[in-house]
Amino acid sequence: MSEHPTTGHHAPTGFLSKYVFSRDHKVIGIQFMFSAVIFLLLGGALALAVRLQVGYPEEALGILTKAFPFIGSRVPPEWGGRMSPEFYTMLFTMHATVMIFFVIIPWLTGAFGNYLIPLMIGAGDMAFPTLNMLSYWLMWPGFICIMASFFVDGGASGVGWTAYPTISSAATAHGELASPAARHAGAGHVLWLVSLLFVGVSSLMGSVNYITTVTHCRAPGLSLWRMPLTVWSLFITAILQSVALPPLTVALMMQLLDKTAGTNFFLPPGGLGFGNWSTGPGGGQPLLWQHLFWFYSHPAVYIMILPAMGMVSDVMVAFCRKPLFGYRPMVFSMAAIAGLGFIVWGHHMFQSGMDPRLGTGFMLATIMIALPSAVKTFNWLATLWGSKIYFSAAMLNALGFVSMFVIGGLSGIFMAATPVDVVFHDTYFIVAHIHYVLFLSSLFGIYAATYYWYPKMFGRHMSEGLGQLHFALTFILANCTFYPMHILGIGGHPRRYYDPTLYEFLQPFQPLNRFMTVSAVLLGLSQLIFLANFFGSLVFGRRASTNPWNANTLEWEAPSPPPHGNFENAPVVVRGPYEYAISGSTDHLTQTASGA
Amino acid sequence: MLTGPSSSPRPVKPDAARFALLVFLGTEVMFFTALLASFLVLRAGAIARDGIPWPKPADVHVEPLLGLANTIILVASSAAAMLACRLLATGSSGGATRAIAASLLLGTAFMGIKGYEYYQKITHGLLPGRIGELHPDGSQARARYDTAAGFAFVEEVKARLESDARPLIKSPSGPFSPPLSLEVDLLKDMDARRLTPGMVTQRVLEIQSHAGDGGHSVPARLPAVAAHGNLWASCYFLITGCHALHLVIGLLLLLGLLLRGIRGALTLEHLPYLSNVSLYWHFVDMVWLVVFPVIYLL
Amino acid sequence: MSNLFINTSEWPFYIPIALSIFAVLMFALSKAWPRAWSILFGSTLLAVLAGTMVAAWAGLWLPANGASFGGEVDLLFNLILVLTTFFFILTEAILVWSLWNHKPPEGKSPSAIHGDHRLELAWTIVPALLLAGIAVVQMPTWARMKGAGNESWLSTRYEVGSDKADLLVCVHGRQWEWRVRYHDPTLPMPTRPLDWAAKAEPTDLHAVNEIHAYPGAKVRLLLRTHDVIHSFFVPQLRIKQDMLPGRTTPAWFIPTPADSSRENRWEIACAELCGGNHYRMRGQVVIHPDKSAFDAWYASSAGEQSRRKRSEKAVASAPKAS
Repeated sequence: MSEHPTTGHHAPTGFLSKYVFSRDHKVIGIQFMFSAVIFLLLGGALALAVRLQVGYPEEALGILTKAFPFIGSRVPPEWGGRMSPEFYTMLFTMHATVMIFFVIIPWLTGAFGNYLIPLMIGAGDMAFPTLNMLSYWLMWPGFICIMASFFVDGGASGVGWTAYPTISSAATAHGELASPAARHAGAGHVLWLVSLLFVGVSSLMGSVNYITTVTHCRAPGLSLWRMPLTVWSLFITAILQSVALPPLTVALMMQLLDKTAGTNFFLPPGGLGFGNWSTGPGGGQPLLWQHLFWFYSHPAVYIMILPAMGMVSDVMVAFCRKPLFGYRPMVFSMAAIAGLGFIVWGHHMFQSGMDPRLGTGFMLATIMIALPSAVKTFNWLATLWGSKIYFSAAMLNALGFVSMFVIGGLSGIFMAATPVDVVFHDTYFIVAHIHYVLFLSSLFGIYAATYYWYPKMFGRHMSEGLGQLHFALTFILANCTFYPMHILGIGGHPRRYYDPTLYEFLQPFQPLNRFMTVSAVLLGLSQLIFLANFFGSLVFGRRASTNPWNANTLEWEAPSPPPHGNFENAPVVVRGPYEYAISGSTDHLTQTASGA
Repeated sequence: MLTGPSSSPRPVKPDAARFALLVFLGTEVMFFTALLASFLVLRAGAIARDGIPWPKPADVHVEPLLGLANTIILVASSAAAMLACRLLATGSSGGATRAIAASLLLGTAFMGIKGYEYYQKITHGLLPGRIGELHPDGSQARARYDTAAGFAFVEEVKARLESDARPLIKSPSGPFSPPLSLEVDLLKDMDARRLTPGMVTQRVLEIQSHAGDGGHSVPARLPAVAAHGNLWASCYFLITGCHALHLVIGLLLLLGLLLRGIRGALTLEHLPYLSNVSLYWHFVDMVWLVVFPVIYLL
Repeated sequence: MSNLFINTSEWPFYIPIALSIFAVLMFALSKAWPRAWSILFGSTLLAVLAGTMVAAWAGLWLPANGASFGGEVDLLFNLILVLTTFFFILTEAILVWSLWNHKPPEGKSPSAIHGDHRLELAWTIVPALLLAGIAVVQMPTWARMKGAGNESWLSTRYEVGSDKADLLVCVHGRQWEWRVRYHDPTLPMPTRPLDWAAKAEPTDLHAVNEIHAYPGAKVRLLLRTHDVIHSFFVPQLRIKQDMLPGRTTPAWFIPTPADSSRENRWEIACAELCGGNHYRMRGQVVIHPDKSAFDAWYASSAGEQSRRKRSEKAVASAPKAS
């Protein structure tokens, strides 16, 4: 077989090089996708256990052992019929970690980033296929560490996904792994840190690759201002990631050393005493971690929403047969979100003891970041206005994204207002906000993109009926699960509480907690429809044509699924991606079509 | 990868590897910025908290001259790498190989000196979490030092004295100025009454200031003492360690090129790769040019 | 289902099930009548609005304010609530309306419009002004909450200064309780409150998990922690402040309970994850009806403490004497 004309590497022939250690961006994208889907199951199960405990503090363990009898024999006898509070801390920590670092980010940037960027810019592959392969396989040490952490002494990390020192970093002066501060801050937390380091390096490799691919591998005629928003969003996300990740790497290294090598970066002077245990001598600052962590993790919120915004725009346009309203303002808004995203991290720290004047500065930047989000929303609405909507599963999820992103965005303004944040900080209001942004926005975006590009990826359609049913249930139940959290937060319900019924002022809210738990269980069950659809359609799905949605971006010119090297003939682009509502034989013009 | 030129036609613009390397170095700039900024924040915070100055180089066995030597070596190594690019561009494969060898040797010399510096720190017990911290009298500083960590330090001193000085109490070797007389005195005092961590630290510091005097040719292996010493050691090893790690990667890349040159297989075709490695090497050099003043001189 | 320990006959159980059935119905209906999707979106969003109003009406809302600056916070909350509700209704109405009219009129096709500069400008500038307004109006409140009343903001962080507080209270968070220490209110305030926070004086009154005050008293809190980060949170006082290891963080409040004729008891909660028993760091702020009631409580507590100390001393010195 001769060398392929457009990729520079041979089409692989062996099983290993074709499906496992593949350098083909499409296989790597699908690998990221399958890992994410599997971790979605794990993260969802953890979430349901958390919800059960909060909704039914007395009965949660009983319910779990009744529902899953095989758990019964594994419950430590010292728990005494209830889940232990320490175990509960592990549940929500790992839920957040898995969902953020192993589901949303890999699915958005790893799966769709890999699969779509070369196809949508008309390239044969990524700029550096081997680097691309490495970026997936470096996820595996991360996977292994995070899974192993469940089984080590003390269990997986239970210090919150934010891992604030000193509960996370405190170590004894003698270098044991067991933590004096919390049972779930020992070996499991060390593995958590190592795992995140690997995931970070993987993302960094991916980002360098994406940036170079977009700048260097675009098809002839595809100027920057002719790129679809999906590519723009993934490109901006990659830049965001490559700037924000290194400081997180530094922070993770520091905490890892604090835990294992006796350093004192996050340990205050004089050290700390925990009963009979004592830490080393100290000298550092616990607050430094928060600065470094949020310098990454606030941009990470945008890393988790920007690609969804881009993909939702493209999905929406294809199913409402109308040009995207305000293409350039959309790109500028994303750039503004990315830029401002770097100077707002302090809004996570308004009550941390940071200088209140600094808080005012962060408040101003934070309030202003609402602006580009508002502009995007208005542009989506203007796109929908007077259009011809096809209610496909992908479109419904895109519409779900827009409607729910409005709620997630508006609730953010409450927390940006510093005095109001005093009340809402670390309450369920925050939990509501983050789930409106990450579940009801990012995940709807992911679902929309999955339904939309699945035919391209696997050559088969997902079932429309199951997809629409899945959406209807998810939309209603997710609102039932997460909207009441706003009310809880307004009432002052702190997050991460094992048993809120201990507090008089929280008792009136307990029926709401049960309501949310029942909704969450139903929500979890309805996601099984998606999983069945996803895996079932691999075999039973209707065969897809090259351009089933009559869309006009480049990926729809390659066969479904595209062969190694993607395109038979390298495409030449003559126009932008949103030429819909054209009067003529078809209502759209593809990016390569000649003519008016 | 960033490596090897591809002979196949691909729609990747030719400077992609160079561009990707620049993006990567951009992330590296963020990495070292975060490291050094954290260091400056920690240092400023520690000084502001109790007004005790940051350890001077002599307090922590840092020799700016060694740092300076390393700076010169690394700049020279960088220059040699640049020379290698120039020579290869003019077609002199042998000259380029020799220049790469020079660059590699200088880089290795840097690592040698760095290793010696680490060895110095380790033999003096300047390791994070192991250093006694003395705080001149001041109620707050004193209060914070007399904590569990302070008592752990006392335990450590006691353990060292038990092994080094206890035998001398049992069988004094002579009537006058026995070796380790100060250590023996300290051990006797510690036997007699309970000394606060502050007092023990003061005494240890006195003993160490006499180390090398006539009667103290064989000082007991007492732990090191330096105010802010633990934080200093944490930062020192983290920052220089991260830099050294980058240096090792550069050395491996240079080694690969050298072996290719020795085989006589280094041709003009490898110029883009060589110049990328050289660019990386310049970056490592530039990082040192920032690390050196911040760690050794500030 | 009852064998799963769940009460299946209460609304929190059957409403989600009913809503799921509604979702399935809408899905079934949409095959023949696509506007069902518009109904699905519209009803959900209306339910969200209505649910919020019902919750507020049922008292599941901000706890009754009991702090001097709480009124400003609540006002700001309501202001943002009104603005965001307006934009919520506006945007979602446009969305639902677009879904309802999901097809252009017969014989027409969607217009190939790519954008509009004036529209873009309008919906950039109007929200920008509103947001800037929100940003500006909150600044004085924030300054008052974090600085102590008429004190200069600059002095709040490291130098608390001998401010005119009526009560000086040091609260130590530790796993998992609040250790409270009062500076004797009959003595002059310490000139260096941070030193006092670091080192107890013999005249101090110690207590656990209870902070006592009286209406109108300016209470200066100095927050510290022994081990990990805790966060001092009293919903009724609109106060939440992290306690950082190695630092003393100041906070303050003036209790102004709505009904000061009786004793008000408000719960203290920890708002920063501090380990397994995070949820059990429950304390209480006790607001006595007036100053004299507080003084009486203080005197009796101080008396009891010194009696206890004397007897402990006696026990401790007894074996030494023999």
